Amino acid sequence: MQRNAIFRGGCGKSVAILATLLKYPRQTRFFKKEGRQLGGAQQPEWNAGPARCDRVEMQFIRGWLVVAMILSSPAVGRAEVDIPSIGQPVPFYGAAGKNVRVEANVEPIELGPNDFLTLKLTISRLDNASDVRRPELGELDAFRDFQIDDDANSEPDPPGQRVFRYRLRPRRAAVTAVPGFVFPYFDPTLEQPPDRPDFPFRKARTEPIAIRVRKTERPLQIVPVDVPSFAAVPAVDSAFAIPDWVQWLALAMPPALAIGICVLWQIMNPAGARLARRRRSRAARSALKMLNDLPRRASDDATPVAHVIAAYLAERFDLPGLYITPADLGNRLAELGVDAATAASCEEFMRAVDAARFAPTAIESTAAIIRDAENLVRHLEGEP
Amino acid sequence: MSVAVFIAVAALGAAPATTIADADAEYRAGIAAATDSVQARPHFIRAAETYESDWKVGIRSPATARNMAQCRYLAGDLGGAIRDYRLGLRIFPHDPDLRAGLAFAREQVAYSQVGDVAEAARPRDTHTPLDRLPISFAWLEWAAIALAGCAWIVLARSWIVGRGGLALFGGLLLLTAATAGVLLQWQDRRLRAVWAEPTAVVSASGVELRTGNSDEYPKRLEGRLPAGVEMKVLSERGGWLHVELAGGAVGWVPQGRTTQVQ
Repeated sequence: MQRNAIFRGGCGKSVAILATLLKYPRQTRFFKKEGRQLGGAQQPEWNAGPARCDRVEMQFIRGWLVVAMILSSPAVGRAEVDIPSIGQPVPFYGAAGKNVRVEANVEPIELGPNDFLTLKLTISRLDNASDVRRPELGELDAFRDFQIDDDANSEPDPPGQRVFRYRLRPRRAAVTAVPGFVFPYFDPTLEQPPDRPDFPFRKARTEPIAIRVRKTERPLQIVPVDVPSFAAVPAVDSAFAIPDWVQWLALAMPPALAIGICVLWQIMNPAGARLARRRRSRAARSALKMLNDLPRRASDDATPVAHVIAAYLAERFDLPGLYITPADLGNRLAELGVDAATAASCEEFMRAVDAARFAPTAIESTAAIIRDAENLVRHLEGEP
Repeated sequence: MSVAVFIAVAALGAAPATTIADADAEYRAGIAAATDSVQARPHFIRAAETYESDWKVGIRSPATARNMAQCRYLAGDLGGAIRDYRLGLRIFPHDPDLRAGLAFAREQVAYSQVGDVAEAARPRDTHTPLDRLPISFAWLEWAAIALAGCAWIVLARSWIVGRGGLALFGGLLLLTAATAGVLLQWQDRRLRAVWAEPTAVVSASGVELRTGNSDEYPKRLEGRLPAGVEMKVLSERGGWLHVELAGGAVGWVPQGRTTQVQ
């Protein structure tokens, strides 16, 4: 058990306090023991000195005894109350007494939004009024809606009472009452059972006190709308908005147009179409070019003409090789399924070339053979 | 004062305005009264509702979506504004004004500096490489179409004159146009898929992402989701939405405090 005030005897108490302050625990323990054994009315026989205190210590204590006697005089003495630490509620303000009462007074009960009110807590029937500490209302959850200042006004407390004054300002206009205050105290007349150490700690309460906080009649603040620049006017769709189907149409139009142009051009320009068809035949184009480049004098040999035509026919009809001999060419064309007239005209042309090549005298000029070769190519390409 | 505002709102509500012109008029009235938000907001709310009804009946254009979203924003409904921008982008995914408006609205979302909400909820960039080009997607499409048209003309010309080189050039042009078209279509489909995701937007600040569909489940993130946070909706159960934030955090939010892009 921890005790606030330990000694029943005034002298013992004072010396113990001094010894404690001077950090002489041995002396403190000694006087505690002596004080308990001798009781409050008797003086401990410290002067004889217990065997366990050495001389230096005893001289020191003797020197402080004068101060201790002054402090232990009846004028400065106070009521002695043992308050056990076990079972103490939190918070606890050190009060002791029987049927301790607490009263709360509030002034004013109607106030403006920034006004303070004064709360006066009067605690009476205390055995140890001077030991009671000031409750810190700001640490209590019940008073969190208030800004709490200490009241500078102080008056001497009546005997056996403590009066605490506070200045409270409601933080919100919605606050409607000063909450009730719970004041725990220790009743020394009650036993402290081991299984219920909090039993002698009682609570005195005050009722909540209704207050009224006037609301501020502030004019409504005019707040402009923050309009981004792009939202200053309603958006409008672009005048050039193009529907999706137009894209598909645009995608389909060019090929259709190209095909149409080609067909129309072929109808309108059949000679040009034939020309183009011939140009499309690479073999024909190549053969005609080579024939065109050949010399056309009468004395020239016709063998190149035969080679050009043989190469053209090989490419045109996909022959396996060059066939300059008329009979071989005719047979080969027939095997490949070329129509008989075409095969015959080719064979006939090759015979004419052979005649020109191997005749003792020129029977036909080379220019005429080249012209016949060109006609053959055009005929095979479908031109009249 | 409040009675007057109520009467004004009631009067506005009683007057049916079902056309774009009426909605535009409400919008302009709101802008004219913008010096006082109390006076202006009912106009913006009414305009947004009118644009929305027009949108629902099929009058859909980028401008309608923009106006709808802008009215929501000016009326103080940031979540609704973001939802409307996304609604427009579902149909017009490449519209630059809608995308700029959405970017602006996203910048207005007040993420808390405390906790990891901002990192988990801030939307990721949906830009494509095409956005870096100085021309819009529509113009790119038209350029590809024009290139294809030129290619067909060149091919026709090559057929007429019988020039193989010209035909080759035309073929190359057509191939280029087709490649561009395929790439543009791929980007278009990709972007449409992004905007078409089932999405919910926090409409009221202070929503907490929880691990289950009840207030009793612990919080998934430290901090609350501010209005305007976009979330991908995974499922729905008992008035709660199972959502995934842009940063990948998955949890549940009360459905009543969100607005869904539908």
